[in-house]
Amino acid sequence: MLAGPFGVSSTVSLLRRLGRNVVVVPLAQDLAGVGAAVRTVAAAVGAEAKGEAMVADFERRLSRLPPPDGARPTAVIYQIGGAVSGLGSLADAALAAAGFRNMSSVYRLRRGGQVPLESLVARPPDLLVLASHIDEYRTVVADNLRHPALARLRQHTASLELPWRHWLCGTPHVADAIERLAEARARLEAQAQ
Amino acid sequence: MMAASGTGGVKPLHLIAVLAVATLAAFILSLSIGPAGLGIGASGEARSLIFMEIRLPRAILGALIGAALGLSGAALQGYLRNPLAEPTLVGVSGGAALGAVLAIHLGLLQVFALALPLGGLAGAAVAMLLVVVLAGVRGGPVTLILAGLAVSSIATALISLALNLSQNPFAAVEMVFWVMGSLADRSLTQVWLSAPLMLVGIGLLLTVGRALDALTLGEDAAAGLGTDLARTRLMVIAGTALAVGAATAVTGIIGFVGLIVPHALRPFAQHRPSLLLPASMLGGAIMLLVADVALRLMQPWAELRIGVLTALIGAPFFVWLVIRTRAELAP
Repeated sequence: MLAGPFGVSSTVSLLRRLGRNVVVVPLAQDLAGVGAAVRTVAAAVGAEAKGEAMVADFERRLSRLPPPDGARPTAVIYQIGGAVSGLGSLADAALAAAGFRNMSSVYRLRRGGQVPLESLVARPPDLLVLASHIDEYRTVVADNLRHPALARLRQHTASLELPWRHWLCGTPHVADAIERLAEARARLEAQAQ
Repeated sequence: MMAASGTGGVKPLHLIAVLAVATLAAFILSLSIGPAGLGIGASGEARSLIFMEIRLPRAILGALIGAALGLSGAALQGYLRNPLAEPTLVGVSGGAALGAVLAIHLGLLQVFALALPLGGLAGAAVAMLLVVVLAGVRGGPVTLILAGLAVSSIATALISLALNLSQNPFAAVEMVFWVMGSLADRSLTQVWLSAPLMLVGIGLLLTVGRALDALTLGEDAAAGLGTDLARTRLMVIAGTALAVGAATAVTGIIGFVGLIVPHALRPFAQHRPSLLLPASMLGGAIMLLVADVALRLMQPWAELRIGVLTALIGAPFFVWLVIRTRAELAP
């Protein structure tokens, strides 16, 4: 039985008292954490070799990325309700690995939070990363993604849609996201020249 | 109602003129303040985007929603002859939010965009009728608040249930949106959706002033003066449902504006509902615009919720009103 690290500790101890084998998988907050999570799960299901292969493949993909050289362009991961991924998150690590500087601190945020659309328009990043498709959630809290000002901003700011479900959790799929971010950086650099 | 106070010397036209000028000033203030400041860099494009697409809709919604809430508070207090009546406290805002949530999560919004404000309108109307049936038009202040509390509780519980059943990963965020309203990042889309319905509601409510004046003498006297009580009731219920329903559908519940504003202005309006109605409409717009500006000045880099601020100001005021009302009702 697999469990996450947060909010279910009493359930975990209850299950363990009932004699169940419960493995708590650490939540990856950086790229090294992804390998640790894979190894934990692989050990729990007795597929250590497969786990090691997966981690090796993940690390090989990361090592093939172009080195983050010189001027690092800025990026913002803009989400539903104006939320932005802050420093120290896995998303922040993904941006760094792809050679971007997370612009959240420019908006006076430390560990993430909400950015008014006006701040985003006044000081746009080099790359705007949208973590959901604009029509994915029809609810009012996603109205910021459908805001006409955001649509106009995207006409002259590079943007990339990277749906959360592919990379929110610390799985090797984060490599897909990083590769797409690195491609976007390469395009930005080509445009600049 | 109460004895005329010392401020009764203000001429009606002067009062309205002063409030209108203040509304205009608050509107301009709201347009000029934001996280990006006044001088928005060199880019004319970003500047026009910020003014036209971000600040203008925010200022329009602040003015219209404040007007809708202030006016319906005054109309409800006048019609129910109850100092504690207010859209949020009588459950109308909660019903409106529930209607909007249902319009979204039953998929009506995908069919036509107007489903959102119409859902809010329907929810507000049902809540209003429920409260009137539960408390009765002649019910005392306490009965009305209890009925409003019951309707509000049911509405909040049903909103929560609908959001939980919708399997929406942002259910908790959305719950906060509906319970504590916000003007953040609203666009002209929401203005077009809600403004026409709000304006019709405001128009209907402004027509009942004379009837409410007559009602201050009691129902029998008002009927004797030729007041059409059934028509007045219809206008108040329909006007409140339209104004509050459309407002809540685009910003969530913003409480207590309809309570504070009429009470603050009543002495200046010589306790005459026909003057208090337009005064509260302007006063509500001023209060919401100023509160929204204050929020942006206090913490310009993050969006505080305006519903939080109005509740922080309004709830202590409500407690004070309850104490005062209790003293007046005491034998």
